[in-house]
Amino acid sequence: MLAQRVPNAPEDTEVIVVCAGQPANLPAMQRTLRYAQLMLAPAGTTIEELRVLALAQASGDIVTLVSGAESQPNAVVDRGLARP
Amino acid sequence: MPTSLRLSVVVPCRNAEASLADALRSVLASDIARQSYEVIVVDDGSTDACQAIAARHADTLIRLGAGRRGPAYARNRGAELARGDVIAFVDADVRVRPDTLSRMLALMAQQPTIDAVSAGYDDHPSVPGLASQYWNLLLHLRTQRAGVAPGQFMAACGAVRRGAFFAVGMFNEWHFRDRLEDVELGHRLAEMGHETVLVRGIQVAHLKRWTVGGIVSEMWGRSLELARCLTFERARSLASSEMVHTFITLGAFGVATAATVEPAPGWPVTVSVAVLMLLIADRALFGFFLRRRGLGFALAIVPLHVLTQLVGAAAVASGWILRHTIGDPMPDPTTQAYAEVGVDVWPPVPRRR
Repeated sequence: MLAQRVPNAPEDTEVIVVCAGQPANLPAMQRTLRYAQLMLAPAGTTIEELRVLALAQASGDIVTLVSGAESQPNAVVDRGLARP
Repeated sequence: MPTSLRLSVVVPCRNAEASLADALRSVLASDIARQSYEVIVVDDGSTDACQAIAARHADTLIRLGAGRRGPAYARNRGAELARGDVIAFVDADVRVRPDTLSRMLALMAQQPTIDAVSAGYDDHPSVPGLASQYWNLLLHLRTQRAGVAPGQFMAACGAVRRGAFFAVGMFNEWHFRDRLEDVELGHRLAEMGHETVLVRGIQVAHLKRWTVGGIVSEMWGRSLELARCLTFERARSLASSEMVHTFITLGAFGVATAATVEPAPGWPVTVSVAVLMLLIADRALFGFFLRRRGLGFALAIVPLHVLTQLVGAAAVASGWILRHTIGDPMPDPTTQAYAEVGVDVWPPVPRRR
């Protein structure tokens, strides 16, 4: 599900995934999202807190925040500043 | 009413931690399907907790970096990233009602000729204090009066079709960095054949806390910019009713001051006439305050109102002098040179007439 939410991230895009607690499928997630930076927050961390943690880690000028379902990890897609 | 129009909500902010969360929560409480709109916050160099608040609620955060670039620049950068058919601008100190955005979208869906819809401020501002109540109620009255005029756009809560917004060249971030950029956009939209409406019945709450100093600063900046930009054809009509009121108030104040400084026989009558002039010039305003807040409030705001009108008159005079001595504020020479020879730059620079 997470891979679908963060599709085709360009090379210059920083992808940060923050999870509340250690997910059971962590190895699979690491394989699927090789380009992503995985962060583990304490279990019980709220979605809003996960988003703030992710933002603090992001270095880009444009930050797109994508939340999973309650049981899903939170993801941040950090894009470079794009101009038309 | 569900529509097929997709919406992008752009919220510019700078050091607005006191109200940003409230503003974003109100947007997220809109009676529109969550998947049919996106929320983009553009942080204009805040040094407070704005970015963290935005991260909690928004879909996208644009960080403009250190320094201040102004709301026009911030809104333009947000609009460039927006994917919606309609772009709604909501200020960080504005609380929308659950049906505000959906009513705007419904109107645009029902009437395809309308390209921009603005909401007005409501008449029960929540921020206490005489200055805040006075100014926020004044803004309510102004938006109610402005509703009938064409070419109205209010960026505090205004929605515009994506195509129209880009076709007219977005907000003028070169000339109107801090104020009046939405008024100017409304006039430009109307001038280029786009229909704009300010719907009095669609209202939002203004959460901004005002001080006397803040009001004076706002009045000074707004009036100065108004006067300095009069050489642009499209801005000429901006200086209409507000200035008439200002100069009548100034005249009344001058007469009253002269009569009390050098009292002549019958000076009480002169002062009474001056006060009457003031009340007549702003009878709608004082009548409104009287009805909404009572006689005590209406009398209490008289000194503040006179002060703002005096500041406004002084700023208009200063702006006029600046315009005729220094000239209009201009973009940097390179950008302007490109614009003069017709080379497009992004965002577009409005050409002189």
